[in-house]
Amino acid sequence: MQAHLQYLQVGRAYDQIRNSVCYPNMNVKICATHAGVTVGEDGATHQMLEDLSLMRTLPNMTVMSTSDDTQTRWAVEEIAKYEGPVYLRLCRLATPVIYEEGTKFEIGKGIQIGDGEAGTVIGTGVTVAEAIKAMQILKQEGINIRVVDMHTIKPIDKELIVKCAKETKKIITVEDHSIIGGLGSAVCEVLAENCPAKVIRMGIRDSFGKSGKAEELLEYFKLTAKHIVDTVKM
Amino acid sequence: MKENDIEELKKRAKEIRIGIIEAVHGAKSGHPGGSLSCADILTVLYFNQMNIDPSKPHDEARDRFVLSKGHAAPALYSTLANRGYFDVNELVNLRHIDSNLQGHPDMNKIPGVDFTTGSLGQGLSVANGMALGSKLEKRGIRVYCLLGDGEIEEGQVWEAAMSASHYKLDNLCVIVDNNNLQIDGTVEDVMSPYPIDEKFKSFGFYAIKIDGHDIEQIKKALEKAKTVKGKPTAIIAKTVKGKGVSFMENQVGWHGKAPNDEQYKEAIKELKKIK
Repeated sequence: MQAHLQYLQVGRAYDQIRNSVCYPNMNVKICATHAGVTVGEDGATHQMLEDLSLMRTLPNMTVMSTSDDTQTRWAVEEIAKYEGPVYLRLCRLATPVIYEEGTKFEIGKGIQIGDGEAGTVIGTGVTVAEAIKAMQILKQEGINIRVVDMHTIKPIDKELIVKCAKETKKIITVEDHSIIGGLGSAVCEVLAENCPAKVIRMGIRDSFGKSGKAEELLEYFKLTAKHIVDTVKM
Repeated sequence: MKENDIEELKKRAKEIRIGIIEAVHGAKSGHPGGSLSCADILTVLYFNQMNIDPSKPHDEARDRFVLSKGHAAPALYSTLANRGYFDVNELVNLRHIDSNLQGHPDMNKIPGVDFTTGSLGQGLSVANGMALGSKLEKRGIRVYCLLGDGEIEEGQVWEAAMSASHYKLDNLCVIVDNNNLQIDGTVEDVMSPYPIDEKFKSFGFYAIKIDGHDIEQIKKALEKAKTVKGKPTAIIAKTVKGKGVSFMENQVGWHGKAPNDEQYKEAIKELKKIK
């Protein structure tokens, strides 16, 4: 198999990842770029919206999706030391730097940003910066929410999700990925079993992507700060 | 409409190349190099060889074309527009959010596109299905599949090649756009597919090597393919990536990059000079 672009690694190679990486529990790291609609102009064939879903169901696999430069640098070094298969999802779009250089993270532990109680917006990858923007806009209007940067999708941070569901009025997930099988589904699974709560899933709603500029597509698929603000207020 | 005059076909190829540059410049992204390299092949197929009618893009009896190297979408769109499937003025809207002209061909949005492609390596399998279907239903359809020379590094292509000869698909004609460059360098450096003709022969194909910019040679090869019985044909077309625009020719950097305004003007000027 000659995967010309990184996004192909998990789609085309799914069976090989299942049977030659995860089942024998090989120490393989898969870092795949070009995830999500933010690939932009190339269009649907090149916009992988199902990778978190595909990788999350595989036993032995750890699944990560980082939100900025600092976190990505940390993750690459960290997974190199980690024993076992890891999938690291990366996007093509240049995104704002959220964390100071040298910030420490922990695999499997989400980052809570802010402590508002009006709602929790859980993001991953490119949507974390949008969620933080939404939090700032809402603050100016007197609505205090919190953001969770869920950089590890599996194992997911159950304690943090349950804590936020208990402390805040609503849970919103937002991802540049299908709402089926990814971050939103993972959060729903945790809450359904541990702390039943209403969850609003923002993401690609059972459709393929399309051509356009990355920023236009975030707007088209309602993944920008403005849409997160509207959803919090709903 | 079948144009037999070589000079007329050359003029068509020139118009198609201009459309490619218009489209990629309008999109500010896309793949000019591998689009320009296959412009002559598409011209002969759509203006001379294929049994098609632009007013009936869904006619079941039409010949089929699968652009397996889907990133050459600007070449296919420009050919279809020039052939009358849609307005050539649409080309500049390539890749825009409100346009049907997706970055890679979408059969459900664009009239004349016979199959959706873009993820490399899959088109020949689809073309096999079309050719086999035609044989089973005795429709007499010919199926053409254009592959990139970098694309044939994909394993699925060779599984499909094995199937095509196993099912004796003599109504199938594969064309390899052998421009010798792929996104990361020369095909030899990345993962050499050579000797391409010998590989197809050993997979049971009748194989011909031609100059992929010589209209007469392309026409003759496609006509020869129609006479081959009991096996599929592979035409290995030696081409130049970026053909027709001097500063894009044989430059790997023009695989997936749009010209800026100045480069665009220069490219159009050069293309218009072609006799």
